[in-house]
Amino acid sequence: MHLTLAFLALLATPLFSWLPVVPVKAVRGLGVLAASVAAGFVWTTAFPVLLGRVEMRSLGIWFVDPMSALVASLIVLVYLATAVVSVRYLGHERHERLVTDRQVRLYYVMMHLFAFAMLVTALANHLGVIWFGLEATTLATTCLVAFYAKDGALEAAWKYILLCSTGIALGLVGILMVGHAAAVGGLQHADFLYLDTLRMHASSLSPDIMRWAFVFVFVGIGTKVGFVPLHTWLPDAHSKTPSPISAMLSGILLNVAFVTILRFKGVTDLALGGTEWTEKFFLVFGILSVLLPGFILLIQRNYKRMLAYSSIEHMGLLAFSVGLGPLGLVPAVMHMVGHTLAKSALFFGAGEILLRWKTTKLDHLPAVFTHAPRTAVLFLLAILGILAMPGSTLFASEYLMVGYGINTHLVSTLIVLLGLSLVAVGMMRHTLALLFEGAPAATEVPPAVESVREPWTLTHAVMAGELALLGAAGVFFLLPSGLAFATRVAQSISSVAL
Amino acid sequence: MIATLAVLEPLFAVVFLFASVLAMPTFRVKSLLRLYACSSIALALLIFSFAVRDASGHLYPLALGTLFVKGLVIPALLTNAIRRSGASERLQSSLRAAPSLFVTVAALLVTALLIQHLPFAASAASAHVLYLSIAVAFAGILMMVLRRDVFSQMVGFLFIENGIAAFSLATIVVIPVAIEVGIFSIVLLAVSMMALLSHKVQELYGTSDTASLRELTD
Repeated sequence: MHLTLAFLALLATPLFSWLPVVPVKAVRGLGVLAASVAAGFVWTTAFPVLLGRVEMRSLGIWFVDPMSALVASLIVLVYLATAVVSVRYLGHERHERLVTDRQVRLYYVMMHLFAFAMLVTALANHLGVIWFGLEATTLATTCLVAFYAKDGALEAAWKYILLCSTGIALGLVGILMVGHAAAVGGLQHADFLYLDTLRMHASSLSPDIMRWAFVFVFVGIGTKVGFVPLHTWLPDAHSKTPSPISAMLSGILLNVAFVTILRFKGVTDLALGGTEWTEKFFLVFGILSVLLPGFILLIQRNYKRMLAYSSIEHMGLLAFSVGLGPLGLVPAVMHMVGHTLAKSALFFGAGEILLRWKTTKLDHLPAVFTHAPRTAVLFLLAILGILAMPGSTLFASEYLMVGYGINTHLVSTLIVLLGLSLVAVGMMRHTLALLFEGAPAATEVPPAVESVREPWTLTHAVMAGELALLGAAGVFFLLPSGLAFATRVAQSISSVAL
Repeated sequence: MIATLAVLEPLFAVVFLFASVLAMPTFRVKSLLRLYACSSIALALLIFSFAVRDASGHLYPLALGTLFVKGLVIPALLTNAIRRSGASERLQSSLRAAPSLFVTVAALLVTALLIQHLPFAASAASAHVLYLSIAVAFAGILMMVLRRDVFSQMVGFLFIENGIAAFSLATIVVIPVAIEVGIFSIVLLAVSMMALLSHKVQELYGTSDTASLRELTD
């Protein structure tokens, strides 16, 4: 019931946002209201499952187990944060006549539909609905990638829709293969594509067909996750989108796609009778996805692209963790939470810098700390968080990941550590230059802006809140209860007892 | 007449495959869209013949949907989009006609050899439709890779989608109607969005050549 209400709120709001009779200012307020309502309904359903007070709920086409409850909770959290930041971000852009009223309406329509599509994907039990949701996220966000229709935004949008739609089409082939395996295995037509039924009858699925199905799903949906070498669209799309939407794209959409692959992994592992075969894919793609961004981040001079490459690296870390073995799912769960909080905060901060200086190039920026100390401090804290400094959730996850990796895959772990070191050097170098040095060829700051003391904005409040959550979750996951929580979530998607 | 349609199944299959093969050396935008429409109509008739042969009532709406959406609406939508954008009739490719055709035929022969080793080939509802589906999807991928303009890449994507539709026919045959409707809507939306984007690309860069889309680098 609560989920239905959340979906209704998310579907009705775009309609109201598009109506000319609703003033644009009201559209922004409506966005926050809709996000709050959806968050309330989703959390009411998800928290009891997450806290173990209620067993997982299978509602036919929907499925609320601890993993989907966690992902849905994170979706609405980032959605709510984005809605709040968008009030400031679009308000400023509209004030400066950088966007028209029509664009503001389009932004909100697509933002709500994007959140709706992610929730559908995260909570669906039917593989067809999952596919539908994933493709819908691509379509909704394409409009947002092409939002400014200039400076490479069209190029980014074209690459995005073409590569992701093709990837998801390949994923559909994998889904059809799963359906075929189910048919050959004797399942009823009505049950072909239900995940819970497939898990229950996995032993009757042909292992050979399931292997092929997994390859297609991994490559297809892996394109959406941004695994190297399927990542080429990601830095373009994430850097050209309005910053609050970049926070949703990087902070949560990648997780949604990743968890979808994990769901297929669970069914495939059960059909194959072991986890080793699928883990090899995660390990190889994980290592590649950590290493390549490591090298590129050393030379990256665009701070939004820097954050986008960091997202590829973190998806690589998630894959690496899962590839280490069944227990790798536990740090992966923690990492997902930490990455969502830190990356969305970083993109919100990037948006503040972009609003002020209208450029994403480090070579055109003065020392941000001098002119915008609040943004600079929060951005620096978020960078330290994403680089897994102690106190961050990502410290807890990477600590466990590396510890487990040294025991199971020593060489691979050392390679990943090399990649992480490159990432840390590259990101810290560029961040310190961005915040404290400023480029010699920096754009002149307009006097009106320079003289104004940076105000405390909605964006700062949201970033501070997310950073507080990042720290709190970091402490929680180091406690036995936090570890037990992550294990329970991981267990719900694992094919073996953890 | 219905029985005749079922007998003509091999003919529809051949048209379905040949439309995608011939699309590769076709560099006129209107001809390319006609070939796509032809492929979609052949697919619709193929689904119809399956419906007749297996007495599967649920396949009739699918056949009609394919005929209407892919055979009529999408080609009309794209023709209109291309006319409005004022794009050149001549499409760009990395290869000339003869090498394009050679590469496609070679790729299809390799597909024919590989498909015999697929674990689900033996259990598929129709082995020849399974081959066709993979061949058509592969031809679509080749078109996306070898062509250098946004319209051809869009049509390449549509051929992939046709291949996947045939794949579903060859493997699980039955997909719930709601999901089918969802897939049709998504494909239609995706194509509308691609058409809109290609129009904007043409407007901004004055060409549909993807060589102009190389501004974003590290």
